[in-house]
Amino acid sequence: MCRFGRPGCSLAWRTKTRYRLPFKLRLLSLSHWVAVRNHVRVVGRGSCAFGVAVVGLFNLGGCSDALRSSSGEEGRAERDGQGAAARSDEESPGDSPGAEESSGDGSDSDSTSGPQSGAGDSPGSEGASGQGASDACAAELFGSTSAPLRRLTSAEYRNTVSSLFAGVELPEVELLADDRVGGFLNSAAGQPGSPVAVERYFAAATVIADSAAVSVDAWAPCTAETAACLSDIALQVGFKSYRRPLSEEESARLEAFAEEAFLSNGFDDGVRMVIEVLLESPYFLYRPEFGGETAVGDAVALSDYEMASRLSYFFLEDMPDQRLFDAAAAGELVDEAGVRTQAERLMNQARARGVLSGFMGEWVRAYQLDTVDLDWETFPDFDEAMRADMRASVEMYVDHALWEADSWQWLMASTQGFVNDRLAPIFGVEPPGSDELVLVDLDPAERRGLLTQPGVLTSTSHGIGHSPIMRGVTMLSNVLCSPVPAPPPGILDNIDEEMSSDDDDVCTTRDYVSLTHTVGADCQGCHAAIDGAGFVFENYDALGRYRTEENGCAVDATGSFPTSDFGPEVNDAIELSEALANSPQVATCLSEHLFRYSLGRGTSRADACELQALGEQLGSGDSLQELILELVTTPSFRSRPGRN
Amino acid sequence: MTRFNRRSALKLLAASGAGGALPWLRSPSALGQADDVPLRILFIEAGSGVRRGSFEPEQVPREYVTEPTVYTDWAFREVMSALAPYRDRSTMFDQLDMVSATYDPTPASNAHNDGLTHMLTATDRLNADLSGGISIDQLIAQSLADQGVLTRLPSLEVMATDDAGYWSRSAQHHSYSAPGQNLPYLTYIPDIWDRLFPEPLTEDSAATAALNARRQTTHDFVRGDYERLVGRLGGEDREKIQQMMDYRAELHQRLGVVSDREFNRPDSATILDPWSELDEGYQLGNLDNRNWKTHAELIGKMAAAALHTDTTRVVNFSLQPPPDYEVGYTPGQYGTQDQHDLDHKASGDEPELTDPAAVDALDESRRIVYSQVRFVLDELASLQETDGQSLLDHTLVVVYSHIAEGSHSLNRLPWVIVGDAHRALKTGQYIRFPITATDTGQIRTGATVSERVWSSRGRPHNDLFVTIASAMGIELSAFGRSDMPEAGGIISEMLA
Repeated sequence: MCRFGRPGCSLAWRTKTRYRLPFKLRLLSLSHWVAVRNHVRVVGRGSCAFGVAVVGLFNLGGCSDALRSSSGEEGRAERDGQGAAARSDEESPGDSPGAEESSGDGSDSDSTSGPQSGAGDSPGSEGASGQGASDACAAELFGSTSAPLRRLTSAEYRNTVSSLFAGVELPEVELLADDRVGGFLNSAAGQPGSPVAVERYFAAATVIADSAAVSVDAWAPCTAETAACLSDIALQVGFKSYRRPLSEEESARLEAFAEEAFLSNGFDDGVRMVIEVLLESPYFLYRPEFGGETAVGDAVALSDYEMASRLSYFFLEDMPDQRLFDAAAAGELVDEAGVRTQAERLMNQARARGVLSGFMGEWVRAYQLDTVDLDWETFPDFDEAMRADMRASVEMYVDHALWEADSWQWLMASTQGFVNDRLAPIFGVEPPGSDELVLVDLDPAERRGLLTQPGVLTSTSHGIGHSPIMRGVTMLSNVLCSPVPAPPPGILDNIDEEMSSDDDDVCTTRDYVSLTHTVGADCQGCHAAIDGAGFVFENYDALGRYRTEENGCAVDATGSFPTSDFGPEVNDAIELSEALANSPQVATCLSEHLFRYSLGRGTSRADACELQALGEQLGSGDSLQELILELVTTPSFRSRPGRN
Repeated sequence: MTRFNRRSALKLLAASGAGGALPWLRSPSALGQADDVPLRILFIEAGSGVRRGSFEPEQVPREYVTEPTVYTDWAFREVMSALAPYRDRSTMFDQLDMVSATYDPTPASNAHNDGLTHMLTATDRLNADLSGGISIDQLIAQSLADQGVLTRLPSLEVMATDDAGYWSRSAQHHSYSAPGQNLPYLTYIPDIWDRLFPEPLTEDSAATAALNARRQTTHDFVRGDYERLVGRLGGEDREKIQQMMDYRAELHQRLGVVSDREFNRPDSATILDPWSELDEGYQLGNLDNRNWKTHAELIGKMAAAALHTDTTRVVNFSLQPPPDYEVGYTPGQYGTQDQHDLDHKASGDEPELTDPAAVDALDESRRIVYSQVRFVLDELASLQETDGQSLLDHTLVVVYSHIAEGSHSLNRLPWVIVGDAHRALKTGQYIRFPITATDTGQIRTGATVSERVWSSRGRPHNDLFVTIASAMGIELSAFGRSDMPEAGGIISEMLA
């Protein structure tokens, strides 16, 4: 069985590719080959299908038309560089004007119908990320936006039970993996119910209860083996696990259960039973929000305890701590000042720093680095140690940007990076003499900002090369929040057989990709945007090493960004990074991703005003921490739709 | 696709008194007549396919066909000859292809995942690593449940790998309960045993009664929370919680199932004692005690026991390729790095490596895999049912692989069906399907099959799944991706 990173696995790809395709085709990544191999093998020639396929943007729709409308009336298609929404005849851009929400970058998921799949008047098309946002301001806060019920993610579940039973060594529990929707693992759309999910929750509750019951002295309010003590335990764990005070009915019911459990099974098993039912309760597994009594327009303010959970799971991926519970009990979380106070406190906790730094990495899809599969012969240095270092380097970079520099400018345009001896040749700097990653100055002519970090650049590589197309898609969908057009129907069946991959003018990857995409008019429309955004990183190879030549030919790293608020022409990634740091569109795009991450849902037209305000705040104030604080005090974060 | 209303089925069950009978719910098989033996299904993943030149029966003419063509004069080739005793109960195919993978717009993360994500789901990927649909084994398991068939486990997923006893206790794999939701495969012998045959088993013991009473109490409480929450929600949120509540109720019913058949479980010593000895060797780092074959056999025994005891009616057993020491291969031989490298270099239509010794080494790994498949078939044949027939007579066996051969090709899958599904299917057939040129959409004629044509699409394996589902009593109009022009629904040539 081929495993990622194992030599044999990569060799297989290399062998196959060399066997079937001429040398110049090897310039393309192997994923190109995978997606189109059946077509290529038919005609023996390349075509725009290469590019189209690797992007994986196969919602049906007009390629050229979509591009022309990228800043306007056409909806945003679901897509993702690694794996976009699957083809669905019902989901072509522009076909679903009724669909209100969008998950943003199209995500790694969601081929089914539903709000996440919608195109229509999503902010991406309407301009919530910068263009025309003010025109899209809705009279009401939510409009038709839904706020779907969220289940605890696997990480949130584990953290919460650890907090519930602090001091107990709990067993590893195996829960169903969360789907990544809209780029994030905490989206409600990525939490389908299933028999297996229920079975896992049952099994997890059982083993956790077993462990916690033998260590009651570590976490329980009492240890006397009496019915009264068991009731006290039930009420306390009930409060914490539901993350709110129990109603009188709930308290009575739980006390009755505890009493029966004690009488029938004794104290120890009674504790187990209490824990089992509480951990299987939907009030524990889900985060139902009904709101308090304050309603403004179509919005209902969250209750204090609901607000405590929103803050806690956003910052810590965990249940509220005692101070949050206290603040909720004191009624301090219904006003903006109280929320901000708690947010500032939580944000300074080490765990919150890790969570939010993780978000920044997710924003540029650094998680893809975990599954990058590079040919071992072509890249013999790219082993698991280097993969881990690259990932850590990116994490430390965003961590520094958030918590040390606290600067949007630094994040997007810094000329520093975290380097150790292993990564030094990749960064093109002298080894710092350390296995640990340390902050060093980089050559400002070669590297600037988050997007030029080797870990980010490598995350879109595969096989024997880099992918300008994947890089372009990430740029458009995640950094610019600009619609990436979908290919037209039947594009793969309309391969131009006249284009030869042995063209003498083809030397660099850019040459080949350009050639394939200019042959067919259908391809040209889409890829003018995608490739233009990806070519700007041509100074970096698949591992993110700076270069000026490829295959002996000079690299052309000029890029074009016709749908951005800068450019449209950019000379290279250095110039691009400086432009990004000063782009309101990019600042708003980051805000939109953070907004979706915080709420576990897509965005809609109704969110445009808040998103634009957040983007403007970030652009003018430069503080990333302030952006986060502003976000959690927005009406959207503090309320829910009034309709149920 | 046929859709079953789970809630209605459960309500019907409750109305019939079954719900009230908890926790002593009997499985239908236990309640049925002695000769009313249920049909089960066993999926066996057999390594990484078979080198194409070594699986096509020599008796079958090399020709293209314009219509599905059945050959009855055929025999397993040498590499698969372990299955020879079951030839008359088997069906093989030529040009059964994973066509759905060729339509999938989402690139796979690697060539193996291309097949892994399609082999049992036959639909588009959710992303580079996960399939976007339910797998056929899980669809059958869920459909049986929807039809009111309650077994203690809805299905069992197990895997034999070389690493299983040492460090790997489970692995994410290729059975999907829903899009993107793949199920972990148990690989550790004691884990599998505990899941299948947890103690106490005795139906009338006080401990079991207490356990079930306790489960009833906890379930009632949890159900109460679900009901109260459902009452406060609307729209999709309400549906979401209602669905989870239904699933929880179903789980509770399964937990209460006790089948008389479960007393037919094998003696634990025959499973756990050999394993304990090996396991101790593993834990102590004694590589001499590594024994993939024994590991595979013990899991095969438990898979058969799971079916025989009606603990579940759907089992998926993944037989991973045997390790070097089983094959007699040494890394570096034939200029290859490892078996995987050997597999690639000696496979395909124009193999890079033609050294007969190297080819034989590759084939040897397949011989071993099919010997293990044979072991499981023998085990099924040895277990007697209440009607005097064997378990094999009541089991449909699907032998599949995630690629056709080492070249990563997904065309011409060397899959084998064993069993007639209670006389629903013909057996002893070798069925060749027409192939369609992807560029013209025309059926290929004239050339010979020996001339490999990459640009072809044969019969989508989706249709095999539709046929299998039908044989299991589940009527589907389509399975997986349904818009492929090559698909035709049930493979009528298979029907009895």
